Amino acid sequence: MSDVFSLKGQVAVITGAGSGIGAATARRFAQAGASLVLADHAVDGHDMSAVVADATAAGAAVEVVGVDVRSEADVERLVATAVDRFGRVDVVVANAAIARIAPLAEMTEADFNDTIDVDLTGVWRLFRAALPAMRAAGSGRMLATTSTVGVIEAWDAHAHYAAAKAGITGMVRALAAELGPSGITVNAIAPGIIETPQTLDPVNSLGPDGVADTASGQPVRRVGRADDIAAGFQYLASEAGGFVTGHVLVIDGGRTLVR
Amino acid sequence: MTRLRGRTAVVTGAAAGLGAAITARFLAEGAHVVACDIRDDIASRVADLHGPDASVTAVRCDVTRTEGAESALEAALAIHGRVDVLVNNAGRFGGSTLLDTTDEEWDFHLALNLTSQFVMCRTFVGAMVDQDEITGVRGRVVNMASQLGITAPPAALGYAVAKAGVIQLTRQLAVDYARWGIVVNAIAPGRIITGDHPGERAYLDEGTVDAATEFSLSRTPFPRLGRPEDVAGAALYLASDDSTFVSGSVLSVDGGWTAY
Repeated sequence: MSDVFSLKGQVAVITGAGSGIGAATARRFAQAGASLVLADHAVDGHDMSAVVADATAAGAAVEVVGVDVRSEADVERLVATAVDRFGRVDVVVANAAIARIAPLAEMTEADFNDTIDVDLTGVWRLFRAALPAMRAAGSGRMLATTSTVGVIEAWDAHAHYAAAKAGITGMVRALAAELGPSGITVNAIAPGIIETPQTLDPVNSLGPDGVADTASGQPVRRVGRADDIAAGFQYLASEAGGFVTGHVLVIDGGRTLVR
Repeated sequence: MTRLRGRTAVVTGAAAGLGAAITARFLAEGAHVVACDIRDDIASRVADLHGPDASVTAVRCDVTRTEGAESALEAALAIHGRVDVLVNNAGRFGGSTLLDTTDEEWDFHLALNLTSQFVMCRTFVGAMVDQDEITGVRGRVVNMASQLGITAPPAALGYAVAKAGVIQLTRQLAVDYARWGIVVNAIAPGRIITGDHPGERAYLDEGTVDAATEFSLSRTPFPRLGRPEDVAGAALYLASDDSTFVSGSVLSVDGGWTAY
């Protein structure tokens, strides 16, 4: 029997790869045998060198491309890099996102549009850019990071973020139906509270104490780790997940069951 | 492939179909599997399917009865003194409309498709809570739900209600036992072609498409119907150390049926 979780020989494109869930996914995919094309958004200030070093040490070929997912041209160039360097695109992980606290009364139209542009349209840009290569191959895996926020639960002062993340659920289902006949699966993971630079930000998210507190308030009594989500992406990208499509996999330690 | 090396897993309904595929996958990953089924020939079937040297123990038992669950537990504990994974797979499709459902038929479908999972969970979780943790988890349960417990199939009342019950059983147990390190999830398969149901053998062997298969193809965006290995892959994910933060989830393995 083959190793059904292996990504050997696969080419994966990951956005938001500089930190948190994206970085953990890059490391995991490298260990599973994939070649990587990683999107780096330099203005975020994340240092990609550790991720690249770890992936390279795991034996992966790695390309890093400077990308702003708000730019169609950038995202096209990201996918083109994968095609040019490796000849194919098997998996895309649309993970880049922003979350900024903004009560509705203080939320400008620019705030709203910017969050939608990164968190929802950015996913769409990557999926659309990858479509020609995947269709030509007759297979492909489109994956996105959504959130429990939006469809499953509410957060105060995150209407833009919630709308974007709920939008990913709709898009995943629509594209699963549309692209299934082409052999392309489309799925998302809805993480609960995961310890990442984003959630550790005390201004826009829970901060260190808030993240630590989630361990005692949810069924699985530990803080969620970026690798919990990366492992889910590995499953959905692998042979083992080949018949899963249109699904939003909830990985939240059971948190949203007990509201 | 060593994701389940040294682990003991119990799989019900293991004589054929999904249960046989899950057993094969777990064996390939290094588990010792206790293969349970109510069929008299479970032992010879297991030997035929997995070879005489496989690390598998066949147990003939009725998983709708506590005595049956206890005999499965006893066989599992005899291996390494603990049970790491329980896969509640035993079940059977069937049912009819409300006015055509007899008391006996209702009881049959609820017992086989829902009460069996309750009985097995009670017996096995009872043992798991006293085990030591491995990577933060004392034990794992994977319940076989169905897309038919999410959508509403025509004229399959008993089965569909039972499978919807499996989903809530999963969620309740995930919440109630997570603090003891028990992780509980469900798989909701779509149309999986096992060859066990009418028309499936002909579809597999000759490509003959009957009305039920035609309907399934029309409802499944993916260009093929499911294989038992697709469900086995999901079971492996939920049984492995890769999913220790996944609990109370219902993983659809349906080629997009429920999304469509």
